[in-house]
Amino acid sequence: MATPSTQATVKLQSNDNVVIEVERAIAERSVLIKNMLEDCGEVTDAIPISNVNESILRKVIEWCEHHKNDPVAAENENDDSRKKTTDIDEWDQKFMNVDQEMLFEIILAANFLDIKPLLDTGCKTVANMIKGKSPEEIRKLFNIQNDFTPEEEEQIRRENEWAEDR
Amino acid sequence: MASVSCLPIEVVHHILGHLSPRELLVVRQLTRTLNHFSTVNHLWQPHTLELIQARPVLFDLRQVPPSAWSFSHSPDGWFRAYLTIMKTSKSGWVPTEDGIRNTCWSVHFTGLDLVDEIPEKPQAICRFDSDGIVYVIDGHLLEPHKWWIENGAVRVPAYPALRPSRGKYTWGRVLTHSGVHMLSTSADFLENLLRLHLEILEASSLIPAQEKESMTEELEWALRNIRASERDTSVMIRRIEELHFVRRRSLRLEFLPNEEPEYPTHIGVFGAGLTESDDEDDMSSDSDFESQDSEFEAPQTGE
Repeated sequence: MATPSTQATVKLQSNDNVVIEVERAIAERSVLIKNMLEDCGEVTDAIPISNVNESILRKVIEWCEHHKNDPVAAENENDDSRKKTTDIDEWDQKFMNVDQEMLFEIILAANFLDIKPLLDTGCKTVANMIKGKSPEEIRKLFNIQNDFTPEEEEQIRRENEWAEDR
Repeated sequence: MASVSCLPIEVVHHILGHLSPRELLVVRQLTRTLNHFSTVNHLWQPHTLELIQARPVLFDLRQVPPSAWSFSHSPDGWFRAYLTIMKTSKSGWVPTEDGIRNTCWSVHFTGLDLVDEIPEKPQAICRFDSDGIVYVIDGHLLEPHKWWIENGAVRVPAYPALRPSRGKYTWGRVLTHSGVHMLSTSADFLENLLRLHLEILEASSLIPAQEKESMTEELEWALRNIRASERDTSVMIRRIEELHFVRRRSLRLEFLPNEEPEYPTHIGVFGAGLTESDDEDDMSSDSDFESQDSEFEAPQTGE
């Protein structure tokens, strides 16, 4: 049963066994942690975040701190205006200006911890990296191997030629 | 090490959801897996429906409820629908008596062809009637004439053959000779989507009979409505005027790029969508645009 708790901070434990204490309100940007706290009431032990290492966890907490006063977005995933825009606010752009490995780690952590706005910002960042590039440039950027046969490649190229809006 | 390939499927879909059709087409070319992910219905259904909303020529498709189509029953059905629409927009058409009968056309005399002199409304709108007569239903009064089809062109006595092509900006059907540009709606989009619909229905053995039935009913109802609206002359005049407006506006944007585009009040409904193709085309530069033939020269694209 969800008993409202006055607990001010919670402890999070990264998968490399570092315990970080954060304000409860900040930790609750994570829907996973929020639900867990609601289900368990008072939690004095460190909560193990099994999929996230210390540096990424600190990074995620930094984001949650900055965004702790953001209104919780309406849970309307199919809202049409949602996906069109890939605008990212300036602070988030700087925040996401990290190497690719860290970017993907942040996205994975946001997905695991269920922090939708952070996941969204991460996905938009990747989408922006794709925009305006050729297939070859994208393969190089993300180190992706082309596994098509020449025939398959030709077939897709032909379809795309029709589908392109010129 | 974290890389694109270790992202869970739902995250990949989330990323792809932020991409435009043009960008998804690029992602399709990366790998087999990404080709599969970037061709799925839940990405392409909204893009296809948006395309239908944005293009005035596709007004008839707007009257079909999305659930009436079989596209969701093929893993890439909506992508194929998108492809079908785009393919049609780039293909010619062949005039037949059946195809021309009961169609309405704007008439624009190209002798006046300075772009800034194309009037806001078509000079005339005519209708090829089922009794073999073409007569004016709006605008300048022109004599009624007999019409017929000859060697893939539409003929009216004493005028050169009217050759078919497709409008570059409007995607409408176009008939031209040296002095006249005529523009109309295009049944090809609906016809080709119906063909795809049947193809998918036939190929799928999994659609329950009941669902097939309700889809068929919905579609037939929509088709009846479309046919009824096409018999309504005032509705057709409005649509033709809108296509004329799209062409005029696009030509002005191309040739008079510094001019603020204007939105005449009589075209309110679809005005919001008209800028769509301009906006998303950040990759097509102006020079790219100019290198193509304008509708004035309307080359014959019949295949």
